[in-house]
This record gives sequence, C-alpha cells and structure tokens, in this order.
Amino acid sequence: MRPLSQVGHVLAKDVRQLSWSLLAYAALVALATTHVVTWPAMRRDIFDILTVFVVMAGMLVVAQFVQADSPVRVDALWASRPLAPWAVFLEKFVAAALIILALALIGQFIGLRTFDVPARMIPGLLAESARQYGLWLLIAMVIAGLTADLPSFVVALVALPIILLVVVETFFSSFDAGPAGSWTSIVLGVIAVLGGVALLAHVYRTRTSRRAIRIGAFAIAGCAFGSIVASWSGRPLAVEPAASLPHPSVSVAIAGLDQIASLRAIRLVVEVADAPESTRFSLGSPELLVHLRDGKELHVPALPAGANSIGVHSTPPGLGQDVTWIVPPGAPTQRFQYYPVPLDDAQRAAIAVGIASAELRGQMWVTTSRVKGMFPLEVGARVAHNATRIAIEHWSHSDGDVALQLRIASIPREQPPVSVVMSIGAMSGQEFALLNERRHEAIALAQRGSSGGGTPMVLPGANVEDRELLLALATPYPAGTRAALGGDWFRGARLVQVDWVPRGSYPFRTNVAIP
Amino acid sequence: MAAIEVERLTYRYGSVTALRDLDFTVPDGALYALLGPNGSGKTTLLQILTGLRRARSGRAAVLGIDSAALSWRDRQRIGYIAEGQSLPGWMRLDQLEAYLAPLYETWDTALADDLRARFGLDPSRRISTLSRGEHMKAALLCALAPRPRLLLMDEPFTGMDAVVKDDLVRGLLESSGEEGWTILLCSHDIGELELLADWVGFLDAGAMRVSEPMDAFRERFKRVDVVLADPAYPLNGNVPDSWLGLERAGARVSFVLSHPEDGSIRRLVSAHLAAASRIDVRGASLREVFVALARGSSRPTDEDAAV
Repeated sequence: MRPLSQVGHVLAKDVRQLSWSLLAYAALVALATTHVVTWPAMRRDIFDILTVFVVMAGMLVVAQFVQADSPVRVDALWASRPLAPWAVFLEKFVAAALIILALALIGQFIGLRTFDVPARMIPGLLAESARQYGLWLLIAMVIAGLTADLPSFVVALVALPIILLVVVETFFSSFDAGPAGSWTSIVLGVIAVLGGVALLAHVYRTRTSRRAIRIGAFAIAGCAFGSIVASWSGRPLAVEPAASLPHPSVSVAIAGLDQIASLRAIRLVVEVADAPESTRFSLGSPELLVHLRDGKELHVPALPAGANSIGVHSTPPGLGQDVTWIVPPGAPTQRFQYYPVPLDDAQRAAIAVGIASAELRGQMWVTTSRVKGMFPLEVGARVAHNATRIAIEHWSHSDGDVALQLRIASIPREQPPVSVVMSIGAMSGQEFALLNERRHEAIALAQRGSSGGGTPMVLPGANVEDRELLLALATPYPAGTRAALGGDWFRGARLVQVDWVPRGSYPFRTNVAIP
Repeated sequence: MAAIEVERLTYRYGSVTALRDLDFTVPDGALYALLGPNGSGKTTLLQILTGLRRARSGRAAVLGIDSAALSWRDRQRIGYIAEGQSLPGWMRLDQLEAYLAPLYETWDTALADDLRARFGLDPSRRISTLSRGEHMKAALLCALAPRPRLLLMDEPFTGMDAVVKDDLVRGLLESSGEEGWTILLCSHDIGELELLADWVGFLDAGAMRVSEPMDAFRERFKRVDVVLADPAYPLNGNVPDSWLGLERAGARVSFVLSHPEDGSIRRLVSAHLAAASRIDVRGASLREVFVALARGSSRPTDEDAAV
C-alpha cells in the first residue's frame, strides 16, 4: 500500500476507533449550531459556554487521533508496521482539518448565515475562526504528540497556560499587544504553525521526545496562545486619513470667569459651524493650555467629571429625505455647548492672577451614522438583517410614551481598538429609532437598561454582541401633539437600528476667546 | 549476508548505560536465542533493531539496512512482537487482520487462518477481551502472517499454555527451515529456546557475553560436578574466576566451565582442588549456562560447606 493510500487507510481506522468521540463532538457542534440558529429560544447563560466546550472537545478528539498512533510510545503498533511516518503524520492533520475543524466551520457558517451576514464578510469571519480554532487544535496535537496517554495530555494542557503565565509575568511583564496586536498575532501564528508542523513531523520521523523537543513544543504552544490572545485585542479600525474627514469651524470661549470660585470650575462655550449631517465630533484627551499674565502656563485637563471626551457636536442620524424627528435624539440644536472644566484650589489661585490667552487642544474624533437595519415592529418578530438579529419581546405605548424590550445580537463588522472606544465613549455605538415612512416621521429611542455582552458563536473568531435592551423615548414627547402618537402611527412604524461608526481623527487646536 | 549485524552499539537512558559496545551477528536463516537476566538490555536491543529507538553510537543493521534508516517498505520484511505487545483493544481480531493485511504485500491469509485455528482464536472477539496468552497469540499471528524474512520476538511465549507453546515452537522451527526466516527470540523460557535455537547469545548488563552457534555452545560449556574427600576443604583462593556459577553443598561442588576437552578439565580441576575425590563432566544445559553466566564469578563462602 502506497503512503498516500495509507493516509486514508489509517484515517478509516481512526474514525472507526473514535466513532463515539466523533459522534459526541458532532452532537456538541450541532447543539452549539442549534443554539445560534434558534436564537434567542435557548437560555443564554447556559449555552454561552458551548463554544468553550466545542473547542475543548475538539482538542480532546484531536489528541485522541494523535495518540491512536502515538509518535513517542515505543510500543505503538504503527511504528513497527510498514507505515510511512509522514503518512501517519499527515493523517493526523487531515483528521484535524477535514473532520474536527471542518465540522465546526460548517456550524459556524450556518450560524453566520442565520445572522444574514453579507456574503463578502463570511470568508473573512470563517478564516479568522479557522485560524483561532486551528491554533487551539495545533496546541492539542503538539502536546498529544509528546504525551503517552489522555490523562497526561490533560495534565500538560492544564499546566501549560499556568507555566506560560508565570514565564510571561516573570520575563515579559511589560508585554502588551497594543496597537501592533494584529501583527503580533499574525507573526506568532505563523511561527506556531510552521514550528508545530515541523516539530510533529520530526517526532513522527524520529520517535524521540528529547528535552529540546519538549522545550520547542512549549515555545510553539506559547506562540499559539500568544497569537490567539493578541487577536482578541480586535481588528484594527479602518480609519480614514485626516484630510478626508470633515473639519467644521469650532470656536471656543471661556464664560463666567467671575463664577470660578463658586462653581469651582471654568466654563467653556463651544460653537460649531459647517458641520455635516449625521455626524458627531468629540474631542479626546482635551487639554486647556492657559497662558497667565505673570508669564506662567497652566495645563488643565479639559474634561467634565467622569468623562473621557467632550462631545463637541452631534446631529441626528439621517433616516432619509424629508423625515422629521417628532421625538429627537437630544436637544433640538447642539450648535452651542457649555462644558464645566473642574479646577482645583491651586489652579483657581493661579487663574486669579489673570489669563493672557488660552488654547484648547486634543484629538478630534469623527463618527458618522449609518442605518444598519429596519425591522417590523411586532412582538415575537425575529428578523435577521445585515449581521444583526432582533427579537422584539415586548412593546407598548401609552400616554405618548413607548416601552420596547428587545433582544439584539449582532456581529460587529469591525472592532475599534479599546483606546478609541475610551476616547469617544458614548459618541459611538448603536442607537434605535422608530420610523413611520408613510408619515415621514421618526421617534428617537434611548436605552433605559441593558444586559448581556459579547459571546462567541459556534467557534471563536466571530463574536456576537448579544444584549437585552429596554428602550423608551429619547426625549419627552411634546404634550401638545400627543394625539399624533397613537396606535395608527405605530401600525406603519418600523424599528430602525443606527450604528455610529468612528471614521477617524485629527489633531485639534484652537485659541480660546477670553471675555 | 548476515540478517543482523551489530557493531559497537551503545545506548543510554540518561546516565544509565543499557547497551555497551555491543558486537554480534545473526546469520541469515538462523534461529537465534537471546538470553539475559532482567534489565540486561534485551528489549532495548530489539527496539533498536526495529528502529523504535535510535542508538547514541555504533551501528545496527538488519537485512543489510541501518535500523535507524528502515523505511516503511523495509518493515514489510520484518516482523516484531514486543513484550506485552500493545494491540488496539477496541478492534476485533478479524478487524485487526483486515487493517494490517493491506499494509503487507506478502500477507498470507491462508497462514493467518491456519494460525488462528491453531491458536484457537475467535476472530469476532475484541482484542481487549482476550486473555494475556490469547493476546500474545494474536500478536504472533499478526507478526507471522506477512511471512517476514526477519522475525524479532520479545518474550513471545508469555501466558501460553504448554500445548500451544509446543505447537508454536514446532511451527517456528518448520517455518524457519522451510521459509528461510531468520528469527531472533528473547525469552525466559530457556527450555523452549534450547529446542528451537541454532544460535545463542547471552546479554548481561548491556554487554554480549556469548554469541555463537548452539552446537559450538554445547561443545564449549561443560557442567562439572566434584565430590570432595574433605567436606571442610576451603575453596577460597583455590578456584579461578573462569569457573562460573560455582555452587557448594557440603562436599559437593558444581560449576560451569568453558572448555573444549573433558580430559583437560579433569586435570584442571584436580590441580585446583586437591581434595577432589570424584569429578563428573558433561555438556551443560542452556539453563545451567544461563544461570552460571548470570551469577558470573561470584563465589560461595566457605561457610556454605556446612550446608
């Protein structure tokens, strides 16, 4: 029998040997897929950890495949039979790829389809899942290749992350994937895959597991872990160059200098002109540089208490031509903003000398809105659209108020780095509105409560943001026109999901007018 | 061409030397009995010969090929049964045969059927349900059915009853003769080996003490029984180191000696033991030589004379 035929021959043997393990694994994948498909029928708290079970079960089954023809056990049957080592080695990878990985990827694909993920996004999401899950399987194969049986494999698998953590804490305490996370992930992943394949090939060929081999396996597992962990820092946001971003005219003035003592703060008046529609501007890491009359300078973080950024300007999302916001998302106009900048005693004493000039500087982030999907306003309706699924669990309206309870699960297209989310805070994210297209009217909704969080799908690599939201009117409905907001209005209404997406940022600096 | 050639072979487990500068040859077609006490390195040697372990230094060639470089094709011609051979317990015997048969161009289904019937093995039984003896029979069946040119067997008779063992020994003898197989066999069952082997080797503490044809072996090793006129006659200082496995029970002294001629043995013994009143010399059995070599030149104390 030629080696290529041996691959199929050994695979058939392994499949027969591990048929119960494979059936259990397939059942677990099917359960995880069913959980995704029937969303939100199954209880989230129970089934959220299914992905962990799928990954762990996959690692165990792959380990069983490897140890069915162990490369290091001297009494392994295959080693003294006319089987080419590379055929047995290849069979293990074929089993891992074509059975374990492929089965879970089919479940993942079905899950993505139920989210109505655009076809162009699916290959990328599947590739990321295959990469992450493949690295977990590779770790399992390497460890299983160097351990004699399943119990020692499990012990090594549990011990490995602990040892890695100790090593990283001891020698790489300043390790931070940071903004280079994706590159770190790619480089570590490539090292892990090449190293893992080479190491297993070597062990199958020589059937030795000397100390150098074990150290190599440890390093490979470390690279694989590192690659997986680094990839969790999020895909980098595709930011536009600063020049292509809108630069509205922003003028800033200090108001109420005479009230500094009583307010224990300085007030900034911000006026924005020429800002485009459906756009928000927020100033991250704002700093007020005050030139005092005595020649000294004062640097004051220009942040209201508890904030990460200043929301400089915001306009409602565009829902189409001629749509009127009968309940707007915020104040009717936001051309003027007043921001109190807290001052401590020393800063107030310094400013008492007198301000010669001042400037405000920081990083201006631009976010724009886009309508992600429109859904029928029906209790029990479950709609998937554009990588988002919504199930309206309850809704009611009375006395001009609206209460809406919904489950929403979506797969973020891109994930802004944590630093961006911290900078722009509430200026990004998703919002909801009710739109009556027949009447060209819209009602902005605001969250009154939420629970849930991110969870993987069948496999890691495509996280689902699964939340239960309570929505109500964003601003009070004008009392005089309450009659317009009756059952008739809602009959033709649809729920609109709006995403606020960061487009990019540019350094901002402007002189502050002194009264 | 020799079926097995080993030159200056050394293998270490960490700081423990399992095989030390080993040199020996197994001629083509020989049935070679490899003897040695537990821990002497027999299993390690067989694992090196099958390519399951790689020696640190020296050379081991089987069928003219370096054992470390044996290809999957070469393994078609080599049968191996490890001590307590691991077989996939989840398989039925017929499934195991069906799995192994396509791997060998020379798999003889008729021989497999014959061996199965001779061993009384039920093909529909799972390997995991077989007794220890049946397990070894199954391993033997799988090693013999491909009609290998070289068969390496490590304790193949373990757990077998006398009838089957006898049957197997006869089968091996026939096959070795008719098919021209070369067989290297390690076993503690010295009685069976004496029947089977035409070559014998003795491995002790990783070194090959003896490796020669059985005829020459029988010719060379003599069992000497001496009766002393004076039961209190002291042995210390009178007995050379070449007298192996020296035993004393009162006036009776016995040992094994490597010497070709009976006459010269009597003269030699008389020269060292002046009190010898009677000297009997006969060909030593394999067991006697094995025990004598294993004990080496250790000497009974003269207090043993009181026994």
